[in-house]
Amino acid sequence: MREIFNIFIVSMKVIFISSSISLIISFFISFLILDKKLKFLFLFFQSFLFIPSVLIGLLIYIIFKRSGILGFLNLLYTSKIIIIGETILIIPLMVLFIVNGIKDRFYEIKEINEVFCGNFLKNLLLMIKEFRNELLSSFFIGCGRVMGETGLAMIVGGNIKGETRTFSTSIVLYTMRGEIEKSIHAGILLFAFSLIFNLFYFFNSKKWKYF
Amino acid sequence: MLKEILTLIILTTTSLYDTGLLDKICKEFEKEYKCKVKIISVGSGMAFKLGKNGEGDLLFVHEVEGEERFIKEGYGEKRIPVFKNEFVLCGPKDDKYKISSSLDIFDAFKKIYEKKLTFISRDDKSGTDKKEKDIWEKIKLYPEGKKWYIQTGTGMIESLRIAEEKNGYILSDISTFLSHKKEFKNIKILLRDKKNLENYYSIIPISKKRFPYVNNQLAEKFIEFVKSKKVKDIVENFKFDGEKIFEIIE
Repeated sequence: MREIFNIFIVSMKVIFISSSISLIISFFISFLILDKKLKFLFLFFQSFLFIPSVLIGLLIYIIFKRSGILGFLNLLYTSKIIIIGETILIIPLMVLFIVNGIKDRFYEIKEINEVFCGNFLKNLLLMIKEFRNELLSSFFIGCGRVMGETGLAMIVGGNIKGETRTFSTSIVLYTMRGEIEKSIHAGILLFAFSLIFNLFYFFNSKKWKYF
Repeated sequence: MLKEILTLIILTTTSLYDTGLLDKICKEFEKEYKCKVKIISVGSGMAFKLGKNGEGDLLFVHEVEGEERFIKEGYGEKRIPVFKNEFVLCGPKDDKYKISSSLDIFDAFKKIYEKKLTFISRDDKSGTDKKEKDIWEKIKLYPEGKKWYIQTGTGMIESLRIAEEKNGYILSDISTFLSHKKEFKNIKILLRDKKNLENYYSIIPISKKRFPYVNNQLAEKFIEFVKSKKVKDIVENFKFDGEKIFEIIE
C-alpha cells in the first residue's frame, strides 16, 4: 500500500509540474505564433508532434550523464530530470492544441485590445482570461500524455523506488518480475486516472453541449 | 508446400543476454540445425513465471534455489549446469572506505551498512538480486527502506549506470560489468570473492509432460550443442579486457 502511495505521489508530482511548466511555455509560443504570424514556427512544432519519447529520453541521457555536457548538475536519475524531459515532450502537443483552439477568436480580441489602447501586457492578460478554457483543456491533454509515457521516464529516471518510480514504469517492473497481479492493479489505477483527466478535459471543453 | 521452420524459445536472464554470448551461440545453433531461436530476456523471476506458463521451450537462468523449486513443482525434469562465473562488488574508484580490503563479501556488506554508503539494489527478483538479498540475510542486516539503499527495479546494465551516476556500491555479475567496462569511469571492481560469490548458469528444458506443445526435441539438441566443442571454443574465446568471463562446466 505504501509502495502504491509513493508511486502515486511521484507520478502526480511529475504530471502536474511538467504540465504546468509546459502550459506556460506553450502559451507564450502560441501567442508568438499567432501574433507575429510565424507559420514556420508552427510547422516546426507540428513536425515534432510525433517524435518518440524514447528519443528525447536518449538525448537527455546523453546530455545529463556524468561525462555529458551538463553532467555536473547531477540531475540524472532524479524526478527533476523526468519533469524536464516530459515538459519538452509535451510542448509541441500543447502548442498545437492551443493554437488550434484559440486562432478563431485571437485576432478579434487583439483588435478589441487595440481599440482600448492596451499594451502588450494587457493584451496578454486579456487573452489568458478569455482563453482559460482552452488553456485548461490543453493542460489536461498534457497530463494524459505524461501519465501514459514510459520510455523516457524509464531511461532518465531509472525506476528508483520511492524516487522515480511512476505508474507506467512500475508496471514494466512488476511484469518483468513476474508479479502480474500487482501489474494489473497498477494498470487499473493508471487507467482510472487517465479516465479522470479525460473527463476533466471533456467537460471543460464544452464539447458535451453539442450533443 | 511451405517448409516448416522449427522455433526454439529460450527464456533467459538479462545478465546472460546483455553480454552477447547467447546471441553468438544461437547464431551458430541456427546455422547448424536450420531452425529459428527466439530469446526472451527478462529477470529470473519473470523467466520462471513464463516457464511455469509454458511460454518457452527451455530456461537458461542462474538462481539455484529457484531452479530446484521449479523442478520440484514439476515444470522441468532436470537441471544442467553449463557455465560458471562469479559475482563481484563494484564501487567508487577512490575506495575511500577501504572496502576492497575486506575479508570477504560479508565483511564488505557489513561495512557498507555501518557507514551508510550508497548501495544500488536491483530489486527485480533476478538471480543477481537474489544473491544480494541472500548476503544481507546471512549477515542479518536489513537495509530495506534505508535512505542510502536505492532500489532501481531495472536490469543489470541500467543499475550499473545508476551506480556510476550516484557513486554507489553494487553487486554485479562479472560478465555484465566487464562487457560494458568502457562506459564506467567512476566505478570499478572492488572485491572478488570466489568462494562465496559463485554464479552458475544452468539450462532446464520445460517439461513435455506438463506442456505437450513444448519443443522438447530441439531443446535437447540445444543442450547437446552447448556441451559440444564448437560452443566450448566460442566461450573460450569470449573475452572482455583480456579476461575470460564464462567457464564451461564439464
